Amino acid sequence: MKRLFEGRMRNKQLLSWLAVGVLVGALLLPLVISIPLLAEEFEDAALEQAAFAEETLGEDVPAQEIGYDVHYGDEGIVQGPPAPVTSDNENDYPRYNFESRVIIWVANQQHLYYGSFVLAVPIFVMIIEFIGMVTKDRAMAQKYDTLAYDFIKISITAYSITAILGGVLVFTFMILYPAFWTYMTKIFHPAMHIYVLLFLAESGTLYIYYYGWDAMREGLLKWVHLSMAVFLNVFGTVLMMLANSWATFMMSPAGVDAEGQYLGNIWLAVHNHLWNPVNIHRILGNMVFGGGIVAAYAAYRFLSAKNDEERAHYDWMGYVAMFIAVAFLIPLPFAGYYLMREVYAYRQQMGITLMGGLLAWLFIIQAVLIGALFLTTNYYLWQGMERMRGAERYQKYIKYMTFVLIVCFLVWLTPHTMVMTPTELKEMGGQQHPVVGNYGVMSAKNGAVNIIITTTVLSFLLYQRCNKIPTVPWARYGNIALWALFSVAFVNIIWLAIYGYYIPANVRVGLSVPQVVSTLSCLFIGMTINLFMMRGAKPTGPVEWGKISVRSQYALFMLATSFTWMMGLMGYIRSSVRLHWHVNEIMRDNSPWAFTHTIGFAANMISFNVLFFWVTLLFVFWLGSLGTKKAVVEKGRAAPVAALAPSTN
Amino acid sequence: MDFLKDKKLLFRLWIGLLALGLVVLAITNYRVNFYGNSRLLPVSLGIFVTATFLLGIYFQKVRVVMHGAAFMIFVAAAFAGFSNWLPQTIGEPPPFEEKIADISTMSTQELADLGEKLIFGAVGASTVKGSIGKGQCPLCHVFGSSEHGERAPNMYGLPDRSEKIVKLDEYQNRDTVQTVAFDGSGIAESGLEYMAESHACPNCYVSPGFGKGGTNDRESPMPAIHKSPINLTIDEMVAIDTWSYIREGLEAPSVDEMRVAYEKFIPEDERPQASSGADGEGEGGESQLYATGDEPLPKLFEKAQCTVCHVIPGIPDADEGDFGPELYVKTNAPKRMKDKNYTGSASSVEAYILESILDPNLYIVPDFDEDLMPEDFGTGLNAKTVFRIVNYLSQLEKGKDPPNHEEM
Repeated sequence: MKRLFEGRMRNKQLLSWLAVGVLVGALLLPLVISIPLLAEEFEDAALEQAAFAEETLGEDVPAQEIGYDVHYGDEGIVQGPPAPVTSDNENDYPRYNFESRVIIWVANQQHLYYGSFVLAVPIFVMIIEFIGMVTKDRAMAQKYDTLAYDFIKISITAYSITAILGGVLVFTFMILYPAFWTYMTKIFHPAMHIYVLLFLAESGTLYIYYYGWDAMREGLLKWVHLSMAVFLNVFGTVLMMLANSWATFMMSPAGVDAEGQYLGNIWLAVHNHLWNPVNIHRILGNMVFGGGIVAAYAAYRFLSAKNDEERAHYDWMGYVAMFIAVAFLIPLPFAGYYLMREVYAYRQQMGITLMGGLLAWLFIIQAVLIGALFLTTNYYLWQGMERMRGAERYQKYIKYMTFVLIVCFLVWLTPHTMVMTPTELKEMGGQQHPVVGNYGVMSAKNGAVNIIITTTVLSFLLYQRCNKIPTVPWARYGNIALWALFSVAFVNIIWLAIYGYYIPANVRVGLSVPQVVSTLSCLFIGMTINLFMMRGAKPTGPVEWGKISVRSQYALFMLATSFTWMMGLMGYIRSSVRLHWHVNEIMRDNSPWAFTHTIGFAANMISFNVLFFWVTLLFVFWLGSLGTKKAVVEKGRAAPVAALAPSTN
Repeated sequence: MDFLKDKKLLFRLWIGLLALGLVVLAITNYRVNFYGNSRLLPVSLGIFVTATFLLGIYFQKVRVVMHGAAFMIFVAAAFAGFSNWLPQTIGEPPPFEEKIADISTMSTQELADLGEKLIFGAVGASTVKGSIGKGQCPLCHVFGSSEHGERAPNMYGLPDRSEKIVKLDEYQNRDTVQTVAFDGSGIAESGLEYMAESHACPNCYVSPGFGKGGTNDRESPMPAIHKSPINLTIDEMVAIDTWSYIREGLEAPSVDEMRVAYEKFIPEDERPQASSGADGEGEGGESQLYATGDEPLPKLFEKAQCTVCHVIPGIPDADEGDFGPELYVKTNAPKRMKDKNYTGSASSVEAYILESILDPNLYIVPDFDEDLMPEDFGTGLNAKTVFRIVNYLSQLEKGKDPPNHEEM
């Protein structure tokens, strides 16, 4: 019976893939046809150019000009004009009575916020729909399905807004930075066409996915439906990567020679040095951001809920969203580390400008944000313990964890060296503060941030155990193992942090590896031991969703706002590291706004963007709430996502 | 007017108006201080927090939205406030390249000064922390005899050290990613040549411990400084080397010797040419003048670089410079003109200021260093700028309010 069922499932899946393949094939057809056409057009253009040159110059045709790729060093035939040398006038930089850069800043940031949101939401929807399909409990399955549908509905409106903002952005570029924009389109026009066609394919898929939700709710069609979510996400991700290539080309250009002349290989221009590091960082970042927004939405619905059922539903939703956000937040620093390493590998000066030069203070602000995020996450988890009877056992540890987190937070945000005025330097007697300076070194900070993450893991582990008493025979040894694991990790991290002071920098760098290993061991080994220990555990009561303080929901607002703010900040850092270049080292910014603003000005802009985004998002949520289907929520029923939340069994 | 009798409604109306007033206040603050004093902008956010919170209390239907919004604005205000509390620095783009005069006609000292300017941005700036010039060297290198370079070798003692390095076995039999500057260039045979080689081909020999991470000192993180983005010309590198010798009290080799050394390692087609910006207009149309003279006074003082060293009463943000005296000139100039050390010929406050700008060393105020003030303001400031500077400074009197700079 089981085999038969599995066989059937496989057939169903196979058929559904086929069906989706046909559908997507149809959507992609224009793209497939256009690529060779674009390539041909390209070759033709080069040939035409050569022919034209021959005609006009007679026999003195110089051999085709050869250029060398500014990054990869490859030889190529010059196929484009050099990067324009602009000057501060109305032709190169048409302007209103306002700073053009600020206008493009807002247009870009809003497009990015919405773009990230509509890229992240379909990923959630896909996961939630899948969980709904494999959940055996029908009521729960229905609940997941409704949740997924609610999300995709929100993202439909957001999707239109993203497209509108994309249009606004392109027009803003064309109007305010025509020389720069013309140069970029001359290089990237084939990729831009592909982008547009992909966008078409994505829109088509999204509309079928959304409007076909009810029609495709049973059997084979449901699998087809889910498979469409997969395609939707693939299109979305490729779209984002194409757009990323333009931004990273501006930072680390390739595919052009030192004068900025295009050498005919679009792949090199797309696949520039920082492209992949930024791709990875952005995908993870989008997930965190999307989780944050959904969590805030849930918090809002929780606070305005009319009855206990609604409260329970939105409490659960907020928890799941927060969990997704934090799950992706943990690998994010590693992706950031990879990006930064590649920045240093690309240009050491660029790395130093970021970490020890003009932009270094922005990383202090980032550190404050990261610290605040982790503190808030822990706070939310501790508040969440209120949902469970039996949590009292662990509450006594909270004060110690708070203390540890705050001390580490303070170490983590202590700066090392920074740009100072001569007076400040004199007063402090050097670049480092005589006392606090000792904590501002990498050794202390690596220790601090690892302890912060490990403590967060511990909080989560306690949260999972709150309403359970383990019954496995080896429970005692399991507890000892967990104690030992965390103790060894803390000792190892702290010891290495101290030892780091006594050894030279190049050796010290290596110490971060065992520290991170300690943290990750706690995360993976600790979680696994805990999970097995909780099998068949005796519950001390159900998870009473909805029984959580109002303050906890404000913690979710805090997370959402901080994520949004951090995204604005890191985006600004990424962009402003080009300093006075439109395209790094190739096309200089000669507008009156080539200088780098103060961090305060940048922070004001970021705050403006964050709040503007949230105000418009409120509108989107409001649209989404018009005619929302009532979620079927059974009172008092726990709603765990497999392995995400403590179950009542 | 029935609603006027409904006290609850009336009260709400007042609260609504109050909130509206606060919003107007916040927006006004934004408008007024957007560029001038952007540090005050988070105050607007604070006002928004109060307004939204108030609205939330008295308009129950939108309570959750308003309180949620108030909290979010509060978070954004906190981050913005913190960022504005930190020290604020504007990163100015580097000036367009100036065409340097024919270096073979320069005296050794002039050449060394040019070198210092290229490294640190200004003559005399080598003693000021954080100074950086076109060459960008201090981004990674340190220059003081007792300093320890973490990112790159200390440049102190370079001329001596170079002589020794070229004799080392590790130098002679190097195994780096690029062992010669270009095919047929050969390797350095003297300290001088070594300095040229390490500028033109940083990969040719990597000082132990300073290679790119993971390359086992086979590759240098330093860019070739005659190429983009730094683009120093051979003459500029010659100036930098001259400074390296002179500042340690050593005799610098002749310009020709140094040029030959660089030409050995930089093939002809790679030699950057000085840009043709000698007439005061750079390629992108940027003037080499410090200021146009049309700026508001605070900006003008900043652009003319006065505020770097001087406190100028009445000018916002000109309250930190302590390399030069405070500019209460109307009070001080008469005393100084009578001082026995005064060697100038001014007889009025205005003339004294003008003289001090054109020839700063005519009189050195006690307790301040000689030769600290650059002598090139005469060529870097135009008449309009100088006129406005003199006009303002000549009215500064100790114990009296400074004149309103907005009207001048």
